[in-house]
Amino acid sequence: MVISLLTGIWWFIRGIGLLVASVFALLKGLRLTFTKFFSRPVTIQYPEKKREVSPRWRGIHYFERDCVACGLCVAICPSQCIRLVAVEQDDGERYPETYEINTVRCIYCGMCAEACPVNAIKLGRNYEFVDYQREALVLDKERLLANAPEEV
Amino acid sequence: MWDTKVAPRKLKKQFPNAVLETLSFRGEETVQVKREEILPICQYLASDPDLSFDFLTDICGVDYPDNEKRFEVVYHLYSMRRKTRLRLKTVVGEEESLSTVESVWKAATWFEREAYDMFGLSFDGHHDLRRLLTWDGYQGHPLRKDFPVRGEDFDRYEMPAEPLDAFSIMPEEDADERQMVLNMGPQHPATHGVLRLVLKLDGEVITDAVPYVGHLHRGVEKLAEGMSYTQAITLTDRLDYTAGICNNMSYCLAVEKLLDVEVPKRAQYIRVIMAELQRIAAHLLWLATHALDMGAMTVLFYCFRDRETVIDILEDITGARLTPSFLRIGGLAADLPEGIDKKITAFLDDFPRLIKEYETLLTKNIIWLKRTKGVGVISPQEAINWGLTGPVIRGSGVKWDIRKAIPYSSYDDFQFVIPTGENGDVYDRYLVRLEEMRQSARIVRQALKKLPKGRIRTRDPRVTPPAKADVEKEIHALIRHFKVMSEGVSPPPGEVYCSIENPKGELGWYLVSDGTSKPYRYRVHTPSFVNVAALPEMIKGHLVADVVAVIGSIDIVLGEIDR
Repeated sequence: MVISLLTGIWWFIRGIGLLVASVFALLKGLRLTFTKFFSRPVTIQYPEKKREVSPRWRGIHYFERDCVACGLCVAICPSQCIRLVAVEQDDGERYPETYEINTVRCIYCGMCAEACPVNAIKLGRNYEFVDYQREALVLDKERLLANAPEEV
Repeated sequence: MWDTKVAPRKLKKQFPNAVLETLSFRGEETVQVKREEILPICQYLASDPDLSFDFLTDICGVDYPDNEKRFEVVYHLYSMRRKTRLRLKTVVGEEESLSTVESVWKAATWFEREAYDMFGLSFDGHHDLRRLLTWDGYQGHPLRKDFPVRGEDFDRYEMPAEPLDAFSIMPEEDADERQMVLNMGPQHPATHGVLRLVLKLDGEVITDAVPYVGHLHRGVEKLAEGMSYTQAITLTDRLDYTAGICNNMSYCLAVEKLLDVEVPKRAQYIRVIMAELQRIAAHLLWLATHALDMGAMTVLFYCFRDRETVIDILEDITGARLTPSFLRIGGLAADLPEGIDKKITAFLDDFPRLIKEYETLLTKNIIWLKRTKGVGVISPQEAINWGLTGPVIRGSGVKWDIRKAIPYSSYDDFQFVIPTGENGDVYDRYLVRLEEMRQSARIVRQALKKLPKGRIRTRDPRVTPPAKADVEKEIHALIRHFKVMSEGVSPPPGEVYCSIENPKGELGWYLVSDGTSKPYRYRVHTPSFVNVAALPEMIKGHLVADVVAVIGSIDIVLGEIDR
């Protein structure tokens, strides 16, 4: 009887101690939080303010110059998202009749830009690229040329 | 350095009839043994005090449909004491089975289940031979060579049947009324992905647990067999998506070993810088989510704030934040950009203060201590037997880090210590990871200081395409550019295993080349896979709330468990 009473008291004191320690721990954390109250926020209010991405950013593709339809980008693309139909003119010059990049399939690894021998296909810095239809996310030749960033 | 040839020699002496062949390729020893003798050989290797192959790294199958006996089962063993690896191989026919090695290493349990699932190999005496990554009742074995890759190539279209194990899981016979089966996940925020745990409870105490994985199974190993070695780099980012660079590095090192290519010193150092920054980022993500799981929400915001800085640096270098695909076979895709060292140094200078902030919130916090101390304990012997890796095994007090044990990418040039825990509980793993971040910062600082000048890609013409400027001017360069880009690399026939210390543990690639430009077998040994296999062992006897703490402390990423 006495023993159980003693253990009861022991547990009660222990519980109080734990409670005090927990409150102390919380206050210690709150002190840190409070100091942060006066520091500048690190977040960006996104649609109004935009984040500057790195110059190497791999975003939406564009054509910097005319493609010669060699097919290296098609060969190296890991996700097989490029469709190319090459045509040869009478004077022997090759050009792509269709050149489509399915940006939904694309994984933006940048291997096409690395493989291109004439530096035609590039990955730009635009990362805002959405639409309601999937078909609209397939880029053809004209759109790729239009995507090129303006020269500064 | 211990002679790696000792093990094959001793094995040949001990089992003259069972050892068929010994091979040596790129410094790795392979022993081909008879199927019937696999268990005694494994027992001998594990128990012989001189060899002490106490650590099972990996078991996987390889399919050779043209051979008389179709499958090859490959065991990768590691000796903690000798710091050497050994590969055992045995051939198995389609109708044959081989003995399980579960009794020798508990780590074999899940590997054998995976081999059963992926190849249809059967293991005699396995206590729980069920499918692992696909569901019960699935038809076919995905990694067999005759299994189609694309959906269009299937001769059937079926709605996945409702898995047999979807609801009733535990054997009902011995369930008395005090016991209850609780389903946790797959849609549970604290399981860090889609891990499903079925818990058998006595009150609130866990008596048994069964993890179900494979919800994210996408067949990376199969997909890679249809890709060139260069293309397959992009698959590696998506395994452990918190540590893309480290995954790239492990795979590239494996291919380089296969090709026998030396990477220039500068590229090695840049790889180390990026891998260690990535380790800091991955550990920050772990700390954020681990603390959040246990109710400490503030830590999440601070960790994400600082992870952002690291990811920004990596973005400046690679051009992507999560899936860098930046390393190339034989080097890097590009050199470091101008002025990045200032950014890195600024972060490193600030970092000790930041770690102090997290420690203020957690390390001596009584609530944190109560939640983590003595929870999820695993002893060093058990940890080795389960084949655990990374901070989990170091938390148990096993001083094992591949960066020190088998140095790669010039890690032996840097000074750092391997932090270890004492009790092997959640708290020790927390401390180990915090210290690892400090050590990573130390390594980055040393590497930046010592960064040599020079090339960032090897000169080997088989691997490295010529410079873009030359391509436009010279016809030789243009031809070589086309050859390298369209065909990729073709390593000589052979097989290698190469692993690195990922933030989560040992991440290794077992590559088999048949001489073509595509890998014949692309086996990924992932750290989370082995760590989650031991989860039931760690949570037995604890409360349901502790499951969350233990899952957080072993830091799993389902993307690499399910592959």
